[in-house]
Amino acid sequence: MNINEIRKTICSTLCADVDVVERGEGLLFVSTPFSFSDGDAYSIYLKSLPTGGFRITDMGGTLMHLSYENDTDKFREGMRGKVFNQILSEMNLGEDDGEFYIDTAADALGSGLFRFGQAITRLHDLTFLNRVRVESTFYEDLRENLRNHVDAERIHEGYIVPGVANARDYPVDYFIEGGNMPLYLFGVPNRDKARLATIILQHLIAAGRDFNSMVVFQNASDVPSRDLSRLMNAANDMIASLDASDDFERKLLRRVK
Amino acid sequence: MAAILLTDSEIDALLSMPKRVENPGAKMRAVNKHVQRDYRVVSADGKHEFALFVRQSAMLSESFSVGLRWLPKSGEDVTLARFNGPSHPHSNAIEGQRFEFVCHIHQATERYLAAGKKDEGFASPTQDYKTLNGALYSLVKRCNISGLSTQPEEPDFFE
Repeated sequence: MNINEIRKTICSTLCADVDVVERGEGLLFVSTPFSFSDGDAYSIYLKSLPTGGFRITDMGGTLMHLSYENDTDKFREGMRGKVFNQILSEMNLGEDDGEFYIDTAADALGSGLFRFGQAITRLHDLTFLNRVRVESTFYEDLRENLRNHVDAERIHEGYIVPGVANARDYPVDYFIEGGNMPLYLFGVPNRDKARLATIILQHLIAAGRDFNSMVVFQNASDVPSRDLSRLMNAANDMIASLDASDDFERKLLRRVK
Repeated sequence: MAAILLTDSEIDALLSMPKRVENPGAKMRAVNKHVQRDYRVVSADGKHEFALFVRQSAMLSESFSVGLRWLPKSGEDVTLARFNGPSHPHSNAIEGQRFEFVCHIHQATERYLAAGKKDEGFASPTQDYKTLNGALYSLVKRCNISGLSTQPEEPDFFE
């Protein structure tokens, strides 16, 4: 197949995958291969503009779809908010109270549809930054950070402290060997884990164990101040986030060398 | 994709177990270009929590959805079922089946979860409802949910 035949094949198959369907009241739905991960097609509609050309719009369907499983207000906060605004800016995507659109000349409709589909895909990918997934990444990063500083054979994950009553109910995230006393380290991505780490530490202290403890937060500023205070009283060392890598290394090595 | 792998019988058990809405007075609220209402649902034995969500586009009457998400104690939520309006085509990725603008019911399946696809990526066309209220009635009935007043769709005598 030569380049002209390949070009012709691509053009004809692209056209076969795209359709325009009247959906009443002058609204045209553009059927494309773009779809959400659940198989539902993207909402892509065309509206004629009074000045000529077209508005490619999702009629608010993208955020409604994302709202099934997400608090869409959070897409405009913090890191997600920054990425959200970056997508709008980079893709030249307009927004009217949650309705996304691109205005385009008629002779640029094809490229406009591609850009619109790409933009909706990028907005959808904001869902990957949800809490559970970010927490999971935090634990992976914590494990990797630990292994960068301490030999793997000295790290015991999910450690059950021997000789403690109901020890299985009070597991330690990481026991790290090598120091004058055992180092028990906890990763804390949220308020619930802060409370659990406090309970476990208090249980071990009440059991008369000698140990050092360290708490590494995903982001200490996200933990309510009362929960933070209780944990500060129970633990020896704290790291506000994994971004404080020098402090993490310094405090960790002081306890295990 | 959900991190939890469920079998079809586990999914069916979660769908069928008796459940109750805890906040039947939840208000519909406008969010961007749609309105939404969210109910908290708990299994009769108190062991499982769910979220029942209701969505209606403010711009397109045929764009609506009601669904039930299972909220496990740990791990990611799983959307067990979603009853959609006919506003868009749908494709079943594994079966390669596509249908156009018809009401359709998404359901979590073992084969989609095992294949690493979206929980409720499989959907079937339905004629059980045509409106948001009809979809809510159908979902509440299918998922054995009590504590919420819903009405079946009025038959269309002119059809």
